[in-house]
Amino acid sequence: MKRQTIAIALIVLLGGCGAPGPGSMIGGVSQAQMRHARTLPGQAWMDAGASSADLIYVSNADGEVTVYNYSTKALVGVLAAFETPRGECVDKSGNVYVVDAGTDQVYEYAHGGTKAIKTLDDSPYEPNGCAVDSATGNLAVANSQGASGSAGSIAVYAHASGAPTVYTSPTIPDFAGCAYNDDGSLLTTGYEKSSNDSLFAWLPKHGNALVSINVPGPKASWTWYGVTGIQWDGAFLVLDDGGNGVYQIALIHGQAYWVNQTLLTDRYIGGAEYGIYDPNPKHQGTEILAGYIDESYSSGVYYFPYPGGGSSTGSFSHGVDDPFAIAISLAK
Amino acid sequence: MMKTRILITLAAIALAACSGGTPASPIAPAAVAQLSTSVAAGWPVAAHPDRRPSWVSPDIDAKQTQVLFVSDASTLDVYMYELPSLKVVGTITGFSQPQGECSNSKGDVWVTDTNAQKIYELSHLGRLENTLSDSDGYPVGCAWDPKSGNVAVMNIFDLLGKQGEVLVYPPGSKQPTSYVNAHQYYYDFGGYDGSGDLFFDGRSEGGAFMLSELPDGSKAAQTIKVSGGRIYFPGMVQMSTASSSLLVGDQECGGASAACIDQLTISGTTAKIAGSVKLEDAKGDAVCDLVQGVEANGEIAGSDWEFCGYTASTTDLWAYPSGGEPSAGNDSTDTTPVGAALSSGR
Amino acid sequence: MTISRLGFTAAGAVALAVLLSGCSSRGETPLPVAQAVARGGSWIERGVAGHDLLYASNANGIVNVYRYWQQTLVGELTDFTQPEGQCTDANSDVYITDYGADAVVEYAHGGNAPLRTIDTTPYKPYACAIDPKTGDLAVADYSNASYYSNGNVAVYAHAKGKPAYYSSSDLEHPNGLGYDNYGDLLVTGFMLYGSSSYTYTYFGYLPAKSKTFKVMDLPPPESSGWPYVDGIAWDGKYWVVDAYGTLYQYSINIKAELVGTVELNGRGSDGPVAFYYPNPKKQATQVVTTYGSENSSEVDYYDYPAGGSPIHEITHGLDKPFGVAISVRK
Repeated sequence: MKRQTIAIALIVLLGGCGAPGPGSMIGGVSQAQMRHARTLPGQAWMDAGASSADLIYVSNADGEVTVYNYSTKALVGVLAAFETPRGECVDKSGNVYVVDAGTDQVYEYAHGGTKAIKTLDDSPYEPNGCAVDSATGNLAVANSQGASGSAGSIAVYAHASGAPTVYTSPTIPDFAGCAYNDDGSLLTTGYEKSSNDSLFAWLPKHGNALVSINVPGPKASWTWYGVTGIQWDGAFLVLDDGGNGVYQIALIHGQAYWVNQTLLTDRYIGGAEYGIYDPNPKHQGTEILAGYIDESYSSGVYYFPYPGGGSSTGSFSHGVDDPFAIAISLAK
Repeated sequence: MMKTRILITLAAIALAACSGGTPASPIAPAAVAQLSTSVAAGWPVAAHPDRRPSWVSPDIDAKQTQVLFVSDASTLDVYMYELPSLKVVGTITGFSQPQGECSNSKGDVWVTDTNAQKIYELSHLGRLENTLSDSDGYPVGCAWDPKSGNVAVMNIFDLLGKQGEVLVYPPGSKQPTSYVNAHQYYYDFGGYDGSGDLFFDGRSEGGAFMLSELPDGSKAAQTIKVSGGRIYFPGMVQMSTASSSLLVGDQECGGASAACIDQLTISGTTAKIAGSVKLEDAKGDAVCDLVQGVEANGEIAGSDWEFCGYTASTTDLWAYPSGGEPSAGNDSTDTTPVGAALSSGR
Repeated sequence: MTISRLGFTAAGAVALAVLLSGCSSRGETPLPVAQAVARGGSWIERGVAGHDLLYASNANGIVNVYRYWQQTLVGELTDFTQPEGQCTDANSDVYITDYGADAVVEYAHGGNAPLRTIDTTPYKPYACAIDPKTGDLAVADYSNASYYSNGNVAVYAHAKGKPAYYSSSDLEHPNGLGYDNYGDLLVTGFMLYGSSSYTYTYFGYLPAKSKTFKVMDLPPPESSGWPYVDGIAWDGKYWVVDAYGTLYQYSINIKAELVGTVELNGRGSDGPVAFYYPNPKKQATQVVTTYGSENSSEVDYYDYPAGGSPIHEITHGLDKPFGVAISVRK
């Protein structure tokens, strides 16, 4: 599954070679967007009344973001403005951000909306994940690389608008994901230059720079590898490592603490494709949704108890294609 | 001869080879494959085994040498600085997440290893003397009681990330007694006064600073209400050696990325901030973060964890109580300094 | 951690291969035969007590005594059934384990008669070490009376009286141990994996003043795990784990860390090595190993920590030597 994702990224990259530079704009719309607009595979749609329910947004390898009713698990809509939709994040009013590694744009959708209400140009960086600080509304975007394959970055868009403040790290050339703590500090993760080992950096609440930090794991001398994203579960930061579980971490004044893990016994999380259902943001989430693809490329999204884990309690698969990210937007 | 004997006994293959006379490969390929697979599972290739040994300079054999032990949460080592030169005279390796420190009058230093759930007792020369295990939670701070010899350990939270506690280990014992202040959720650093009373700081569940006292002989800790100012984020706790003040570090002095040490006058269950020592770096800017420092001999010894993004972290000496810029500093050793304790040789 | 469980490794395989080729080419019987043939009484040249001496246990039951620097045979001690590992105390007395007689025998430096005999019945002693600080004697008992039964580590406070026994289910057969300058005891031993041919090397650690013997996780020098380990020694600065002539140096504080490797390019090593320390507070400058086969019996000297090729070899009078000790003049 991961191999497939990488292959797609590569095609996008190759396709981009002959195209004009991402910086050239026509009437406020980048050429990348224009190019993409002509090749839209389908129209966006949303069931009437979908927005009254808690919704699940799944970014898929086929370029669609499919939307589901959290309770009924029914497909209620499709967002189709993307080349390579990757990470997603949700702000406190339920707006959903989708980062597109193909167009280097970040699209913001209202809960249940079919048209982006805002587009942020993240170029020349290629975004992979995002997070919103619920207190300030700041949007952080984790970029896997910059122009011509140069180092990635963390781009912070104050109030999710305008031009970002860009932070780079001397140790992390390739950022995968990030998440805000409840105190407004940001934990970021990315890969070491020549391996799949995961490294971490912290952006303090009022910080001016990313600070490399050590994140302890379930055992002494633990090395993280393959961490594809970070989420906030209402109480702790949550990491995955592409295995069959997720790991809770506390980040307190720049010191990271190992807390616990949630093991999912009958499905593996293969990438960043998990979302945590947290109906009461003051408390830890109660359910985790994990994307899954099996050997025959049959994809689905599975529900598990959280943080207890164990066996899945439900699933849906209609419209799911090698999911990358799962975001849950609560009804207002 | 004996060697042969043992190896043969353990090696049924060898016996077979001898009797059969076949100079075959000693291990069937399948067995090799099986073994290497299992090994890979138990010893992940991606691991970074810390294979640097601890070292200590022979120069500190001198018993009067004062050594500042500083734990580093990034390099996962404890550095030994000779005072007042701040020259590094040793490095203790092998920790999983070293944080808070405390020391006794003999020069022994305890270092909490949060992730390992252990508290290591090191000699003045950096040698491991004893290990305390903490099965309840994640230890951060520690304090040594000069009255009883007890060692108190502050668990920031339990194994599920919920309310922490104070564990008190009697001298020579590995079985601690647990104490909490029901109102305090996170437990950070602590210090004893000369009468067996333990003061420790931390935060409420909502994240507000809290100071508590476990009076000598008491079964529960109580909240000490702080007036005369605000402490934003818990840092060091130490009874001053220069006055009757309780020194409490604030890692977000004034709500900013700055460090100060507040001097508290304790009266019953209340404390008044009577003064505050502002710490600066060598350029005259506020210290970004002092997690734990030690006040002794008219100085504060500790480190500036420079995450504010301007310069490197430093380990410094500041005049006490005047504060200000450091009188000496070492900016080439620590990355993420956390705990600090002073060890005086006997 | 389960790393050291899987200790049968490339180097172990090499050791085994060597062994096997020995088997098939020489037709040596592998079965243990105690060759207690005391040929007459012990003798030792007069006047050698003023010299540094080297003691070597032989398969024929005799312990040879050489002048350390001249490599000349100056005596034979014949009071053994099956002498194995040796150690010396701060007084330069030599302790020799007698696996066949369930005893540890103490000799004065240059003495030709035992000072005393420590009965280890029913255990079969195989190696020993003496704490330079306290004089405590630690003995690696390979097994109980039955060869396949588990052994233990016996610690005799001040080398006297009844021992305290330490054991771990992982170290079924302790076969080597050493004390550092602080009084910490490091032990190696192994577990037989069921009825198979594999051994799993383990290490045990008894810190100074502690009564808790725990399994110590020594990161193996190779990613595949630990080979068979011949012995443990303290070189004055680091722990040394001897695996057939390759010496792995370790430091143990919060945890064990591999510091370096010293290759001895001689015949290999069969038993625990002995270090020569010109200054007891500094690292050893020479290391001595033993090697024995049907065709060749040697005691080899090497520069340390340089390693490399032997600087001296003793062959005279040896019969598949195993244990070795250097007893410096007083």
